[in-house]
Amino acid sequence: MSDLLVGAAVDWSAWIRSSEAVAWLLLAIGLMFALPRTYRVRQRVGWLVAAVGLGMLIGDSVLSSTARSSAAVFWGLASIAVVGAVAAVTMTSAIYCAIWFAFSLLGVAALMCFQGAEFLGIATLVVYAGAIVVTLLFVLMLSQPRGDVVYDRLSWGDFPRVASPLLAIGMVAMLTAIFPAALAQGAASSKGLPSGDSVARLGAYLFTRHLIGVELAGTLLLAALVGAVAITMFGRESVGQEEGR
Amino acid sequence: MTGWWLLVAVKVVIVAAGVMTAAAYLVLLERKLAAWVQDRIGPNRVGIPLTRIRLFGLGQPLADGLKFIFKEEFTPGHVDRWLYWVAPVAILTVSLAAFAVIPFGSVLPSSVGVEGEHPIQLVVAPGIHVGLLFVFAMGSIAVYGVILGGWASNNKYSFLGALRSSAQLIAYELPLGLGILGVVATAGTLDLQRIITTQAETGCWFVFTQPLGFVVLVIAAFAEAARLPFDLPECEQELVGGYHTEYAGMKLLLFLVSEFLHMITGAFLIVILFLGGWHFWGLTGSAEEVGWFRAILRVVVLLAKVFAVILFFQVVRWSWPRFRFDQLMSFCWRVLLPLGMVNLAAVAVFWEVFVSESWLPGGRLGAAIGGWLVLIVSGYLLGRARPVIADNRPAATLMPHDIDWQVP
Repeated sequence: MSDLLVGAAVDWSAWIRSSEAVAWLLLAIGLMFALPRTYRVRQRVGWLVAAVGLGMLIGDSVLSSTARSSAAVFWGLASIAVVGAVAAVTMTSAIYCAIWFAFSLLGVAALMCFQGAEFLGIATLVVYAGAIVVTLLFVLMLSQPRGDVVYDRLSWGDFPRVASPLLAIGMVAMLTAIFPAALAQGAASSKGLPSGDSVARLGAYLFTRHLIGVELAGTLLLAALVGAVAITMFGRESVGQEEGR
Repeated sequence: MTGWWLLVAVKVVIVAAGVMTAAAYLVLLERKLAAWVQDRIGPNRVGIPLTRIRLFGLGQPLADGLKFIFKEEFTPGHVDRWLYWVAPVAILTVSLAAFAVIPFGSVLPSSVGVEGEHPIQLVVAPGIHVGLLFVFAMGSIAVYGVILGGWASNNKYSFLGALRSSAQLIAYELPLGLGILGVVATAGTLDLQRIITTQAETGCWFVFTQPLGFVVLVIAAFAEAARLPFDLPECEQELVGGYHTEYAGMKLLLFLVSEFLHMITGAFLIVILFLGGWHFWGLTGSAEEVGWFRAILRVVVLLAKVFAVILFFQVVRWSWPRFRFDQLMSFCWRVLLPLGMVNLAAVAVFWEVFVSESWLPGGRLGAAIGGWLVLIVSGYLLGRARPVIADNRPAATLMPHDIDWQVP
């Protein structure tokens, strides 16, 4: 991976003046305003600005691409993921956050399938769908409905609210600028891979090259399971003793 | 390219329309069956409209559909409007999407191939190697529809139904997966078509070699479809209507239809994984290329098997009382989960010993005998251990040690 990135040189001084950089900046500013605080009006402005930025990015990439239809599909799926992620951090109601997170993962899984990683995409869906359902249940049982309380509605602190969108968007923007060249190299080196049933090959790879890692993870999960059972059993014992006294 | 799009469109229309119509007529069948079990006559009035011909009530699904469509779309004032609207749409979308990878036959002969001379695969999205996993993913997304519907309704009964449903579906996904794993391990693929082909080529359906896995899968499929012994998410006697109490008209119809679609998906899975799919000895053959007669015969065999399984689902619905919730949970965690693990271990051992390495003579017959022995022994041991609490006395008459014993 690292040698791929070294090989990819980007002319940063030209990049900073391109329309792409402006789009990323708009996205960051929009996200900054969209993060929840007491005034909802500003949040709408933030969503609008972020949408304009995202639209610029998508338009730029689709129009400049040689394979327009596949670029359009990619950016359609990617914007599902991005819109879901932005909405997940900006919504004021906890349940909407969880739902948008699930929506974002749907986009990510679709992207993986689109790139040919069927198993990875659908496994993401299976694993995360169940996990988010559990999160959702905790949200439903523990939080206030509709974000009616202040601590659910405000994002934390003034400095992080400004710094985190800028930092995150900056990082993603730089990676996006670097990756096309790196990906071209990667694609060139992975030409010889056989196509076909990827699941069997993935399984063979996991259980030969990474056997110890898989076994370790399994042991860890087993330990967690036994620990959970032990905690509930000891907990009930102590309750019984208290009642006995 | 146009031909390809046309092919996909035709398949989508056939599957979607076929499945929806089937769901409508299965409702009629279910009502007739209920009437038969309860010694009534059942719906027999609606026949051809504007005439006096009754036709055994075959027009009933049409009338039901029209009633649902023209009913007032009443949205209560206290609901969360967005999620109230999203929930039924989401659940119907994913339950229909699951049919994208479920084969409804084998192939059509190459003489009608649109692109060159390839035979047409009778599945909407051929070439997905992880079809089984896809069905699973759609099933776990369907939980969102239930939870969102229950929460958005802003009603205690709906919410209770949603919570029960999510707990039940998450719990029963484990035995479902364990029941399937044995088949996946022995067939060596997650592709539904290839699983059928494996069974057709050997002539040995997986129900013969892995009977315990079959039992676990069938029970878990009942729970995933929330059919009667497991229909706690919407038990009428306790929760009014469960998670769709506050719904009416078209939205309610979407919920009810997708529930039926879950059952149909479950029946397809049972047939494809354990009952040989489109294969029947001496009738369908197992070749990749088939003539018209064989191709149609395979579709008929598959659908007949699915129909039989659905009939079983419906007879069970009118024969069994409902579980209590603690029984439901302890049944899953204390009975089905261990059974599923025993099945997986047994299948792995027997397959290795008898079939793939053949250390012992017997081949598939040996594996089958081993599988049935495991089924009988584990069933006997479970019967001795009695892990499911069956004490239904009201709490007031119980002694304290009874209550201690009941808390799982």
